[in-house]
Amino acid sequence: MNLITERNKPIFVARARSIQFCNANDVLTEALANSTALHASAVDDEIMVKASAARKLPRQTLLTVDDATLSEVKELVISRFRIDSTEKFEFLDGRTFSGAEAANQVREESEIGKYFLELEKENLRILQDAFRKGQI
Amino acid sequence: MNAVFFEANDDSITKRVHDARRKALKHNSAYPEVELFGKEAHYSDVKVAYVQTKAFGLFSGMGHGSASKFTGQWESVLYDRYDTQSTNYTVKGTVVHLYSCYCGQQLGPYLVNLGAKAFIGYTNPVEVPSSQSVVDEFVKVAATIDRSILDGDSHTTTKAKADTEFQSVEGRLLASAVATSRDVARFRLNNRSMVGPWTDRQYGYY
Repeated sequence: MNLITERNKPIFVARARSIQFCNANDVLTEALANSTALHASAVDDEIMVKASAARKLPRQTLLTVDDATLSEVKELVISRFRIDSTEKFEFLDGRTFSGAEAANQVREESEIGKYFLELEKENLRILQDAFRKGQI
Repeated sequence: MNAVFFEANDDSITKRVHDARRKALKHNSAYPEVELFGKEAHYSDVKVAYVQTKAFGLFSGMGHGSASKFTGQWESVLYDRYDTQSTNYTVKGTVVHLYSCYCGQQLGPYLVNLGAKAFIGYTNPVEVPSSQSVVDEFVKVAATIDRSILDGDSHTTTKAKADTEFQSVEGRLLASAVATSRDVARFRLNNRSMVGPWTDRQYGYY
């Protein structure tokens, strides 16, 4: 990946080839770990991810993705990170939701959202089991 | 039985998994063993290997994947439903085992339909933890599967060995100070999405 640090320019450009799901996960985690609110919009073959309350990051993040993974990355952004409930989020099909609604919508509708939901449920099961056994 | 190990290592994800697999698969009974790692994890090298070996017994690949394609170094396509690189013929009679996201959804059954003996892969994302020692544990089930195939086991025996290995890895992860509960959850979900001949006949038989 390349880093561009000029002020007001995209600060994080991931090579299109590396935006497969698991890399997108890695890239976004690294880039947006400190975000508390996100807004994303898709323009042609690019996705703009704006970390509006990021503490460590400059204003925006640009991920260049290929067409097949565009919606996947966008879904990942919504499902993986906390979204400010007042922010509007426009889906690729044109529907608009508030941040909280969008997150729920993605969890319910998308394959990747269901995956993350299942991951969190499994994580909870593990923690509950450990708690029952007095390990935590 | 001969085996081709095909492993990309050009990004942080594939590099960690490649390093882990090399530890886990250091000793196996493949003969001859063809290693196509890094820049050699490319469709042209697979074609050359096929000419040399005449046919692959086991093709064990690791790279990025989607429902309908599997890629190698720099995400160059190796196998896909469009046969983009004219490589699909190399799976004929082969047990294909892909450690990659999603390929179990469509590509696996497609390759079996083309003549692969069997397919083992994953229908969901294959998540890779950030800690190398945890990745080392994650790949041990896949390594057990490869060894079982090379030992000539039936697919039911392979699955039984994989299940035993899963339980012992899970136990170590739960007891580990390095692995998080979310890592264990990832490991369980990876394993839950693993498909093979034991799942459905569309994944072949051996």
